[in-house]
Amino acid sequence: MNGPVAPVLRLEGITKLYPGVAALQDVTMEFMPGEVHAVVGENGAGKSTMIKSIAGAIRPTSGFIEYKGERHEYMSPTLSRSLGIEVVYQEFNLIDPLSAAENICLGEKYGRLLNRRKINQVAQEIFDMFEIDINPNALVRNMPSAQQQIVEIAKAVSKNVRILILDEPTAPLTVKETEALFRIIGFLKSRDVTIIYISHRMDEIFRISDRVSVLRDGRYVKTLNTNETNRQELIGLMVGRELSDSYPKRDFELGETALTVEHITTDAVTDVSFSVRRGEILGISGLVGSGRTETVRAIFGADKLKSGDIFVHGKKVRLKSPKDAIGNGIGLIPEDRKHQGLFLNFSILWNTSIVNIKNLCRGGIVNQRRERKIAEEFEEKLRIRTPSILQTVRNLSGGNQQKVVIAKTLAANSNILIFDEPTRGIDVGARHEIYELMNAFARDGNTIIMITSDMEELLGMSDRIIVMAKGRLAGEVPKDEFSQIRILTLASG
Amino acid sequence: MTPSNKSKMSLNKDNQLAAMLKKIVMPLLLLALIVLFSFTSRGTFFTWYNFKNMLSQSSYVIIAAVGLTSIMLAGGIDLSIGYQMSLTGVSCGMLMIKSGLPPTAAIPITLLIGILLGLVNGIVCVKLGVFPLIVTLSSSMVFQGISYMISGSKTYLGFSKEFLFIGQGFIGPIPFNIFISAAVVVIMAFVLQKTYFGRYVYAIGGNEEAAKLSGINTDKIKIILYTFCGFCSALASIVLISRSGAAAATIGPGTEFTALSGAILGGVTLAGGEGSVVTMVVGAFIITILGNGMQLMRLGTFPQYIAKGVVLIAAMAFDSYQKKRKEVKKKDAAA
Repeated sequence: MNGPVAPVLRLEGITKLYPGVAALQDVTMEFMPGEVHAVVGENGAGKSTMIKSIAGAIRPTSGFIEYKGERHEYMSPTLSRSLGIEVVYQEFNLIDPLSAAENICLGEKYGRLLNRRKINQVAQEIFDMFEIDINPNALVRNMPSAQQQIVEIAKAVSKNVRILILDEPTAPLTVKETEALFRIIGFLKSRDVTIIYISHRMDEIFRISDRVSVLRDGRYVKTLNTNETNRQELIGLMVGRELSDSYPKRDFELGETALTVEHITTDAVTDVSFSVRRGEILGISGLVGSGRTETVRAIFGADKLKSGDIFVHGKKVRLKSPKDAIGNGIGLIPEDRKHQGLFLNFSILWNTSIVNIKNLCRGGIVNQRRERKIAEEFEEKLRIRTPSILQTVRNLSGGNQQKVVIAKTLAANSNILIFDEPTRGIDVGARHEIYELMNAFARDGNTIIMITSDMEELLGMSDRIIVMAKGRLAGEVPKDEFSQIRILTLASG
Repeated sequence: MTPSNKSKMSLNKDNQLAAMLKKIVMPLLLLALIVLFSFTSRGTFFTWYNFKNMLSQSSYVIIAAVGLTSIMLAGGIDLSIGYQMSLTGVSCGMLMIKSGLPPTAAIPITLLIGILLGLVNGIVCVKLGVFPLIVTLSSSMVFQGISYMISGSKTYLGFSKEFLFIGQGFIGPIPFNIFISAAVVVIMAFVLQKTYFGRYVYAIGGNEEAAKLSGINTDKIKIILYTFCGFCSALASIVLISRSGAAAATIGPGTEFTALSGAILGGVTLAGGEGSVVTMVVGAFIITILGNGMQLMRLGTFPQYIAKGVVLIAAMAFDSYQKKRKEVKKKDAAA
């Protein structure tokens, strides 16, 4: 594996212990100059811990990091920066009220005062290199997340980056934006920058990476040349077993109409109508900003309805708040589970019962025995992997956290579930489990509305797809007409 | 290179110890202060008389702090409790002395006024969506103005015996006002820990957006909490003016900072969702004992201010040190 070129970065026996868990165990890996090196693994496999060790955000318990042959016991944020190591995390590190250029040149000194002309010039040069049209004066606050990400990368490039670590970079991006990102990656690669690329999306990994390393349960499994492996093998290495079918098949009977939306209009969407039946999984597609999330937020009572009607099981309802929606059996699994779904500092038990807590009370007092029993049932049913339901949710992996959100929603007896990006940032194994949960839920005569940006997931899971564009319904696609092109055409308006 | 099992174990133990330390550090500090002052006060501190006195002295602060803590748990704050006390105290005094109402009428009216003041705070915070810090700082000034205007800056004296019993009377050997504060603490501790309402309060403090999407009427809960805080202020004020035997616009202000200090020392964070009424009581006792012990050491008011400020900063420094320590685990601990 070791070519004539020396590796630019080497991890040797990196171990990181946290109380009760080893996040990384004896991981040894090499990264070559100018390669796109994908790192894959399920959530909890140790990818984040590995990134943080390289970036100096944490100190490994043992092992060392070699950069261009020089050995470091651990990195500090300053040291790793000075060596040209930059990380673009899923949560951006930008200062919202500043402009793109100000963010890019933050910390650089061009003379004593802020030299706006100079920093705009620096930013413009980088954007030109990327062949991206962003105004250096534009405020980050007003940018879509795709542009913010490019600003992040531009910031790294302006710091003379040698190793760029991208953590799930395409998660917030649309197809077109992803293409732009790949072009930038190609450009950086031609300049001998090493890209460490963390992603769950297999098609991307096969498209852009040269090599791919697999982590599993905090251990290093294998590094493969991307063109000598395939999806099946990688997934097999990640989960330690072969996955037969990524989208479980199901047979079902469609029941009567469960939810009808007629001509709803809010601040963000205009005149949207559709209906869903019992037993059905309705996929909602559309670009980011097309009004997908806003539509379901309106149905869930989270956004105000300006006009239009909603019917649940044939009965006209007024949903003025999430409380009303929950009372009518509608549950929402929001797209941002950490900020919208979970109470991170509280236990699984606490989170599971919070929506349903009133029903667990007599005279206002919580029946803790019943509460525990119900939470334990859900832990078992949803296979939440934890030593105890008293575990704080913050310490769980993404997949398990998502299961807690589902548990909390199901506990409130919902029969219409809205999933907004059901598997974002979730590893393959847990993803499969969530699909099975969704199918089982629909099979029991319940209804699912699913928003997703993941095309495979959309085509694999839905029984019918509606596509949104610019706040309006752009079209509907029945199952026998599913095609990526058809959906993308509708989505681009 | 890989650490042995033994070192992994010790690391684990180390962390459990740290977690436990965090829980018991404030009770320990309380104990340490008691021991320290027992030695330095030449026998005047560790006496039944002094403890009874301290508990009775601090009971109005604890009552007010229960209201404040409840709001803080939901991520809010009320800095106006001092002038709520001033205004309700003056009202209570005037109702009894100027209008000649009996305590049985004056007390319910006073509590009602407190509830009203809290309700106004709550509605303004929620409906206008302004930061509670700013709202209550402003309303505090409004209350101050009203309090001085209606009282004409006068002090009202000469309360009836029945009314003075609240702050000065005894049941057996125990001052009556201790029963009031204990009841408030116990009831609110129960409500916050055992009822769905309590869950909602912690949920709002833990993650307001998620709380809303979980079907919690966050606005309603917050208004209830501010209203309850107003009630607590009025009750605290009644205890305080009964204890001091006088009502004036100057009586009450300052309590907001003592109560806030107690809550923060007790681990109630400004962000919300952490701490409890019970831990707040521990924090409030630390403040009280610190003041009392220093007094008995013949250290005056000003050194006490300094000590209280230092303890508060130290408590917050300890907390953030604990949080950082979790991140940066010493490498050599396992090597």
